[in-house]
Formats: sequence, C-alpha cells, structure tokens
Amino acid sequence: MKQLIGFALIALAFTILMSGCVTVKPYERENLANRTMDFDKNREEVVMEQHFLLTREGSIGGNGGAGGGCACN
Amino acid sequence: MKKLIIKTTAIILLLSAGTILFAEDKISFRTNLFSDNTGTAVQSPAVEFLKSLIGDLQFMLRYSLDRVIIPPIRGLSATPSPTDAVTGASRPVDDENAANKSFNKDRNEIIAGFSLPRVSGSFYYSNESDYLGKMATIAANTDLNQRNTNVAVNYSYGWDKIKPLSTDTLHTKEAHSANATITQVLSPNMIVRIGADLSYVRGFQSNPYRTVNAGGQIFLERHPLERKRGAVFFKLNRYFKTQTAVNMEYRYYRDNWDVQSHTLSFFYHQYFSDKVLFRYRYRYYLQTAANFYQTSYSTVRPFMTSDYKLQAFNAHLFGFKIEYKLEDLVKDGFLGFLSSSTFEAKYERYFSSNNFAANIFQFGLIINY
Repeated sequence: MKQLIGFALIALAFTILMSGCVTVKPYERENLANRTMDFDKNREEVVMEQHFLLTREGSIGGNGGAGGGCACN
Repeated sequence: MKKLIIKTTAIILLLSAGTILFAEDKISFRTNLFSDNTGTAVQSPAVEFLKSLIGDLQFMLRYSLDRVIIPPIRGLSATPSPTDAVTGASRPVDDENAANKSFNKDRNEIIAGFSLPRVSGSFYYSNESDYLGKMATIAANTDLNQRNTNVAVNYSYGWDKIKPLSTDTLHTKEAHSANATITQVLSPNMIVRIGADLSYVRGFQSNPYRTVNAGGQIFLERHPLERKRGAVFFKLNRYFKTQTAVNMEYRYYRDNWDVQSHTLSFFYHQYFSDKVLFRYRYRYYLQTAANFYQTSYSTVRPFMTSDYKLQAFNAHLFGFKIEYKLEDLVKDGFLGFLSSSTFEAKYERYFSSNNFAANIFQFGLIINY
C-alpha cells in the first residue's frame, strides 16, 4: 500500500510540474472539446461494464467509483 | 466512523470549485444482453434521466434491472464453482431450487444523484432476493491553471446485507472507497489523466453458496474479513486531424490478499461523418492469484476458496461500437423528439485463460432535450 501511495505522490508531483509548462487557450480547445476526448463520456457504459467485470476479475478500483450489491462477493 | 465521514466531506467541500459534473439534460435507454459459455444469460435494461433544476442544480435518476438465468448445475457443486454469472448472482441448491433446473434471479438497482458546479453526490440502492446493497458517494473537483488542470476527489461508503436463501444467517459488509484524479491538458490535441483509488472492505466477502473440497470433504468457502485495495491509473487521449481519436489506459492494482493486476486498454474512434462515429477497442487484463487460493486443499485451512476471480489468469476483450445521430431521419412530426437523439449499438467479446468466454451486446437510445 505504501508503494501505491508513493507512486501516486510521484504522479501528482509530475502533473503539477507539467501543469506549469502548458497553457492551452480556450480558443485552441476545439478538439479537446470533442466527445471522443472526454474521459467521462461513457459513464453509463462504464458502469455496466464494471458491473460485469466485477464478477469475473479479482480487482476493482481505479475507475472513479465502486460497485456493490448483487451478491458480487 | 461518523467523524471520518464528516472530515472527508468537509475536505471535499473545501476543495470544490469547478465544473458541472453531469452532462446536459437527457433521457437514455440502454439494454445489455449477455451470454457466456456456461449457459448463463443476463438481460439488463436501464433508463437514466438527467434534468436541470434550479440554477446550476442538476438531478439524476437511474434505474436498471438484471434478469439473470443460471442454467442447471452439472456435476458436483465443488471446484470448479457452479455459481456466478454476470452479476455474480450466485445460485443456491436446496429443496426449492433443484440443481437440475434453471435458476432465475432479478436484481433491481436505483441510483439518485445531484450535481452542483462545485460538488456532486449520489445514493445507490440495489436489491435482490439474497443481497441488499447501499452506497453513498460525494465528489468534488476544482480547476487550476486557467482550466488546464482539474483536480477531482470522491469518497464512497457502502454497507451491504447478505442473507443466503433458505437460511436465517445474516451477513454484513461495509466498504470505504476514496478516489483522486488529476486531469491535465498537454496540448490542443492531447490530454492526460492520472489517479489513485484506495478502498477498505470489512465484513463477509465470501460467496455464501460456493463450496470448496478440502481433504475429501465439502466446505463453504471462507475468505478473510478484511481487504485493503489500491490502484493507480494513467489515461491519455490524443486527437488527430483525420477526425480520429485514440484513447489509451493503463492501470495497476494490488491488495493485501496478494492479488495484483495490470490492465491495458486501447480505444480507436473514427468519425465517418458528423453523424456517424465508429469505435474499436481492445483490453488486456493480467492478474496474480490470492495468497490463499489453491486448486485443491489437502487439509482444512483458515481461508479457502474456489473463486475463479482469485486465481491467476489473463483475459482479452475486444469489440465495436457505432453511434448514429438521428437528426436527419426525423425532423418533425410524431417522432420529432428524436431529432436530437443518438442511437448506439455495441458488440464485445470477452475471453480468458480460465476457460471463460462471453458475448455482450448493448443497444441504446439517448434523447437530448
């Protein structure tokens, strides 16, 4: 668990450092606004997929939410 | 426990100052059709409603049903497990549910949520004949660096009750989950997200029907009551001038049962016109076994399992999806409300090294209004 937290802290520091170097203006964001570039575009689809994967694979997490119910033990 | 929840909520509220978490007003209908090589079939219709209320306040309500049909059990009800389907909906075997007959099971799920510019929250409720699940979630995000950076956090608390059919036994389980992500714009065509997910689960985590053969005798499986889980992930989206977008994801997971996993995903999006979007995807998954998992137990152990989810295996998933905007097909008349709608269809194939394979179809209609 300590390794995970360490990795997360390194990633956090990396991103904060990177954020200081990059400034994309609003008028340059046409492509970024495309729905194919949206990390959360398929939220419902992801929910249904996670529901299935929870019953077949032994790991969970890293997708921004948790499941529950359905005798998933 | 209450102090922890209050502190976490306070931190989230302090951090909040950002974007709207839900999308525009819409109602969507989707249905999943699942079938696998064990004969299990699942139909999962779902409807979701998003509506703006006062000011920036948005409301979300989602209902879904899992109708699971589990085939008759063949052979001994020991390893390999005869249970579990897409929902993990395990089947009992008793006087009312004979092993040589199909077992049907329904699961109802409701999620209600709200979203404000700075914070969102939701409540999850799932009910089936032997399992009651509840979970509350609160989330927040904030923009930094002229909206080139976004920091988001969320916390969930879940509490479940498990009452196996034909028994008077009541089990409980509770879970705390926290997630943090940072999204960073790298260029006008590239954006990255990194994050970490931690959870602590305490309570009954075995399958109440699954059995284990130990020393020639049959026992119910026994999993530890505590599980600490963690994952980190990295996502990168890149847009190309050919109206193409590529999404890549990597995720590493480990827990204190010694399960580790690596997941690599790849999405390829291609617009064929303003109305038609095609997607191809591939996902690879690799995991190690839990430290108490064995293919057979010569003696009785404190923890024993025949759960295929806790063995070492790898899995592949690939599939196609197509989205079509209906605006030119129906502009007015009785079906005029479809003019701002999108139809989508998806097929995916999942198969793993532990002899499991499944076909997944999904059809959906999303109506914006």
